[in-house]
Amino acid sequence: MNRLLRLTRRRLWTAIPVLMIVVVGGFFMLEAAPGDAVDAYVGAIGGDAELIESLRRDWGLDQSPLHRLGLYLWSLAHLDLGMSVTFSRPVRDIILERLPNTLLLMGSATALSFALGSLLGIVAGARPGSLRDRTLSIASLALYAMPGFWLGLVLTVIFSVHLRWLPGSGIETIASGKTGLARALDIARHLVLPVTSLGLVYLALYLRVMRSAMAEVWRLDFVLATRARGVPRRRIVLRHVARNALLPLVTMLGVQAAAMLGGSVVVETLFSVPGLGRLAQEAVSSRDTPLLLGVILTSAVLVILVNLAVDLLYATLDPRVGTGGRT
Amino acid sequence: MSNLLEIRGLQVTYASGRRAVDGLDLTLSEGEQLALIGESGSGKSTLALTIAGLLPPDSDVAGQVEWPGFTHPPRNGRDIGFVFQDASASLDPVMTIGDQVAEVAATQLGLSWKASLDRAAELFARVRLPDPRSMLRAYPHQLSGGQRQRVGIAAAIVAEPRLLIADEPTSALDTIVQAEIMRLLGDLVREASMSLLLVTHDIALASQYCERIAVMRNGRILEFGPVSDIVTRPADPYTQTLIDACLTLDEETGQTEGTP
Amino acid sequence: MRFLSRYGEFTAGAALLIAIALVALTAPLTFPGDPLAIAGPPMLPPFADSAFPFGTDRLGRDVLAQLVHGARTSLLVGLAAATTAMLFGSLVGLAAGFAGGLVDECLMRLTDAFQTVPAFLLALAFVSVSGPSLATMVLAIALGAWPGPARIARAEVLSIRERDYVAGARVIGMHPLEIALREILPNALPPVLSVSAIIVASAILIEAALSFLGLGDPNRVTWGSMIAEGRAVLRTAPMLSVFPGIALVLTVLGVYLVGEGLVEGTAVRRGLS
Repeated sequence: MNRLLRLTRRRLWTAIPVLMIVVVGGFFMLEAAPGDAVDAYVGAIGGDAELIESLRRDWGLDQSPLHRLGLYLWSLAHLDLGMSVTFSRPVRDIILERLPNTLLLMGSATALSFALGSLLGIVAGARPGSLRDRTLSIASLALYAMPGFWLGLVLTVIFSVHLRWLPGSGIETIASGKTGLARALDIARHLVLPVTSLGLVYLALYLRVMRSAMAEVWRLDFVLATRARGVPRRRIVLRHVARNALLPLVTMLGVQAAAMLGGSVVVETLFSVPGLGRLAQEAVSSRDTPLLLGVILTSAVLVILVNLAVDLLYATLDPRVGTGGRT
Repeated sequence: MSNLLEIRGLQVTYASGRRAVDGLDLTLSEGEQLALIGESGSGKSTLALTIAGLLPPDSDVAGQVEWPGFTHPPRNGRDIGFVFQDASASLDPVMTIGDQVAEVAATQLGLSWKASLDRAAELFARVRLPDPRSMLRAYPHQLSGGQRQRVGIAAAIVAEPRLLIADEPTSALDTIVQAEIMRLLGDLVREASMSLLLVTHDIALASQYCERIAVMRNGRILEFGPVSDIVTRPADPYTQTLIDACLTLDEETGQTEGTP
Repeated sequence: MRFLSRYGEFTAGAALLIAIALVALTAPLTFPGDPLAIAGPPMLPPFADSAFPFGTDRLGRDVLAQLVHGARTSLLVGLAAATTAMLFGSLVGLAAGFAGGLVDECLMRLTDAFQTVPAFLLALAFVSVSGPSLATMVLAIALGAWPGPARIARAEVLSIRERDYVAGARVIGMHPLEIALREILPNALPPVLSVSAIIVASAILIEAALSFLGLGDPNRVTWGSMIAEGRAVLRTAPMLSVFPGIALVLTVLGVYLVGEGLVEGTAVRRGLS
């Protein structure tokens, strides 16, 4: 417990400068865009120079960049992410609305891909070089090479268009009035295609990592020693080899958190899932700087938290971690 | 004394093409302590692994390995115990040492898990580990090199095997610890009347703990006989160079310095 | 059989990539003219007309011509982005490893920051800011890809610095800069190169995704934009989206196979296999 607390404290401590860099860097990068939110707004609505000036003043866009950065940082300290130009609502509210959908999507995709991927990886890695192993190897490589959005389109064509088994968009049937279990099932049905599109690629990855990790662990001396002690093969595979191979796999989980969040942008857009990813795309297309910055910031925080959780998980699995020396 | 093990014309070739054992004969009697002496690459470890049936599956083994002392082919962990050179590498880093020894007890002796843990604690006491009960929950990285090797020995003798093979059990340890571990091995072997096959490059060690020596070089046995004979009257010049290289061996008496 | 399994992956991947690269390089010869120009009747199905083997799209543009020219964009962006990322990343990593202290800390926090923001999101934001063009696409992808090589380079420098042959060089009085260039650098670079395949593959996929979202260069044909185009007629002509996707899969697969082959090759040479 002590070791885990120390780990948490250390990670959160280093997170602060990182987030500062993200905020400041993001702010100035979006600064560099030609034209600002007012131009986008006026471009869509229409207006004259007077309107532009007054809007600029209202939205504080006539100040110097440094001044505005200061204002932004000040409001951040109060957990205020500014106002969205497109939605005319506080950015924080919009993000909080959309976040659960993305978490649901990513959480399901991660859980399924991790569980199935490692299981199949154990199957493949139990007998390296066998026919089973080679087939899974090639299949997973082909799967890993697929763009998530294309996979989503293909699955949509098959399951939504031709077979009509699953809905092709949205997160639930609009205005259906369903509640409780019925609603949950409805959402689940809508999530099948997006979760699969997002998750299949990672399933392939975890399969490959588990398989190669098992092949590595098989070579280690303690496996020979357990054989010398007459421990049955099944127990060696599961309790020794797979258990040790789990470690690099868990490391992978952390590494892929950011990537999956990025992948959710396209998948959510494709399937019209109202989540954080699609919000980013909407913010980009309407040049809504505060919203985009808010999404970037939220993503960074999310990645840090997920990485922290993964690090803690790793520490519980590997008793050698955090016992002095560097991790 | 009957023979436990008889080897005739053994040849072992690894998948890479390297012939590690090139035609050798060997016999081991019941309750005997035999040392395999040789330098790195002599094939002594390969011979030990072959006897224990632990070679990689793609290795090529020719010749005969017979077990007249057994009515059935010997089983790893039950009839043969193996102690490895590097104890830190022979223990699973993410499992407690108690569990690792208990699983052998559960497998070989059919004990319940609780009984297996009890047996593990007994064994820890037998190999002279401090505080055996709380040691059950320790992890390998929390132990010293000597302690880890004691665990390795404990795991090897769980089912009281008739043959104990020790492959350079002390080479990875400090000198003082080496002596302690060898003394432990010697005592355990004597107490249980086990046959011992000690693989080592240290001829002094061999002469101290074993009755007979086989000197190996390039996959063959050069000399084979009682320890005192080999050390005082080596037939092969190579054996002489091994003896010369050993600082603590008294050539006149064939004894290691420091023994009464 | 062992030879096949060891080098078969590499040769298969290399064959794929060479084929695709040849197709891409010879595109102006085999399909001269603008692939985005209207060439024939719209919505021609594939394998129906010998003049348009893969059919035509909604506007009557030749699908095969687009596929072939799209290869140029994908390969170009993939290689350029990966090279930029590895060069820049290595420089940062080497600097951090050599300098140590506060400089190292700051550079590492910077690296952390770029790794914490999802690479695709970063690329998205950058392209939206700088406008859609090939150059901004390359930079956008490199922005998210450089931290990996930076970490590897830094780790290598830190470990090599402590090795015996470096200590030996120091003892015989070699100048620190000379040690850096002759002993450390050549040994620090191969591990960076070993991840090059992954970076190239991910660059190709990110480019495709950005083009799919409409953020690619509008004057160039890319497989991603083709897929986006085909989405509008997904029910009636799904092959318009399927073909460019298959092209992407084959290309990325080729890159992965070559990458795995390279990693295996170096492992074999180091005697690990």
